[in-house]
Amino acid sequence: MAELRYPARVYLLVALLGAMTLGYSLSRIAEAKEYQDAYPFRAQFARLAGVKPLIAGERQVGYLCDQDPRRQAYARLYFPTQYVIAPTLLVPLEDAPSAKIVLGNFTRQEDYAAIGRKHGLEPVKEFPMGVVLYRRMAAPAPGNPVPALPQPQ
Amino acid sequence: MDLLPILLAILAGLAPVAALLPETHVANPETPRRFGFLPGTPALLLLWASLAFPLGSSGIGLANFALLLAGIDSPWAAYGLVVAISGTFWLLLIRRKQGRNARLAPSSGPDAAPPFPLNWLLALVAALSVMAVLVAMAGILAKSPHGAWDSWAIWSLRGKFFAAGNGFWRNAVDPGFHLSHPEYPVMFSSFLGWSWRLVGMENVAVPQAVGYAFLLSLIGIVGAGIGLLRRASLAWMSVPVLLTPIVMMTVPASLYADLPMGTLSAAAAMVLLLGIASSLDVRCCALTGIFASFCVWIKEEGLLHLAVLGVVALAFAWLARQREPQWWRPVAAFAVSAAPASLFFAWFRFVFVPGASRFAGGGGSSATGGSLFDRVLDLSRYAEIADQIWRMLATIGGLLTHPLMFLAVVLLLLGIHRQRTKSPAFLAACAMLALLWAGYLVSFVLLSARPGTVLAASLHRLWVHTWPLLVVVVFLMTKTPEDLAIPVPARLSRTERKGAKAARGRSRKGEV
Repeated sequence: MAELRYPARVYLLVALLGAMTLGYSLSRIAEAKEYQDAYPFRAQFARLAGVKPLIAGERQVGYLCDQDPRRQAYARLYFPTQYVIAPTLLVPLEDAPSAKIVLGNFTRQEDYAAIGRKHGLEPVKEFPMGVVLYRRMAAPAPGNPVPALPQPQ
Repeated sequence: MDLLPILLAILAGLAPVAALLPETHVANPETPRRFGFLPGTPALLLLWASLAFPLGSSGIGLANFALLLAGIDSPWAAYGLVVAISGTFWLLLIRRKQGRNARLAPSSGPDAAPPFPLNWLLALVAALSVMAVLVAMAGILAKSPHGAWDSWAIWSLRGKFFAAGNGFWRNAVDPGFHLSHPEYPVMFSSFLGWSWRLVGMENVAVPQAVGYAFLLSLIGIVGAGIGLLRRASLAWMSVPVLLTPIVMMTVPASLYADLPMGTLSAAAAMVLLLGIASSLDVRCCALTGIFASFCVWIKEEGLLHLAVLGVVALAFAWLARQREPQWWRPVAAFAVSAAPASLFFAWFRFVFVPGASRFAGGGGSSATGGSLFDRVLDLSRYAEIADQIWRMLATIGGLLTHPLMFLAVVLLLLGIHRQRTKSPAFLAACAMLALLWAGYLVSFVLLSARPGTVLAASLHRLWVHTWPLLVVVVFLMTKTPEDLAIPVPARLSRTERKGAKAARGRSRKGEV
């Protein structure tokens, strides 16, 4: 078989591919080093650690928040909370007005009991950093008993 | 233990892939049987392994969802179902393939030209690019172990619902989950849930391992596919080019479903191209149909990918009707293979979650974006789309390491192989890419919201859906380094040189 010779442009291509790959490889590693997590979850896990065992057996609970649902801040508070609380689904109270157990998720220190009363809820337990577990207040009708306090599982 | 779901998925997908892609490439006389400096057909083995994970994981995700619907809540039952289907598939095809393989028997001769001697260097460059992206991805995941927004607001979150079983999985499709997307396909999340269930705990290692597995599968599919369709030299070159866009690092590290979407679409496209290069092998078309139907179960955009792959398979079968009287067989194989998952998806979308489906409503959309006709005629929407595409292209790489710069360098220095641009595989790849881009453009124009707003948040990750196919198109049309090789005349002995000189002298004098 005849010996083969390759034109200079083939070697140039190999050299360029090598150099350009080295360039973007270094820049990828540098970019990863500079990366900042916009939504650190460590704080959320710590914040919700107390409430999670109390609602672990519930498939769905209501969700009450002091943010406007039309604003991005609402979603920024809802989704990390939902991720930590899963597999229990947090259904906004507007969609589940008769929810027996409701998770309050607040960004400001307020009278949480008063907020709950507006929705027919009473606090079961308050946790640090604006997390409150509510249950529906006793209804006047005899067929609507007060839900039992959820037990840790 | 965290890798167990990955290994089981590969094992589940390997049998159907091996049965449906058995040395298909040897039917194409132009494809090399060797892969660089490695003996045998490792390109085919690499392609099998790369296709096996997306196929196996998709099948398991779907089986897990189907069994949960039926009230069977066991990860091993879901795995058993997939293995049973895969095994049956394989046994049926093994029985039939004897005669067919005789027709596809490879020639015993070596490749037309010896491989490029610097393939080892190209392999090193490819390895460097893969290592760099994996290291960078690991660096991001160390800081953000749960991925980015869509991961913990949609995909991994729904995976947690599936992992809990016992009715909790229904939260993933519950109307109360409307702040997220209960109408989105569930296959990816179902696989994540199945994996967590299997390892017995919800940890961040499982979705991360799944992200790595899909990225490596995509690299293997593109690299090995180009190795089979062209030469090893181009296969090694294609790997660093594939990984150039920054989204090939950020999207896998975000643990979004866009990477599985891009991987499944690339798998379907590559298998179809191998089938077209092998005279529309029926088995390849069947495997394409399976992959294409799984695309719809990953993301909504999968519907477009399924339609485009089906149209291209039909078109190329129709064009080959003169020499293939039974041209309809590959199309039928595609349709029959795609039907089960596609029909299941149609039921899911229109019956199971109809209220949550975007297709079901429409009043709200026309209120914000006007009627469909208004949107098509609204030139400002096209300007917004062009602006977002420009912004995306401007930010997916540096000036000297831009993905398009890589493609331009390859095309300029290797040149275009004119004969190859007429090959059915290249034309099919171009048709797929053009139709996919056209489909995305139409969907952007018809968006109910302003396209600028939507694309600003999504265009980067959508790029992962079609970028692999663009790389394939470019490497199907370039010349190979071997094409550019110039034979050097062998060095002559002293006597031969004297004889040649005398002959040249006689030639000048006009002697015969």
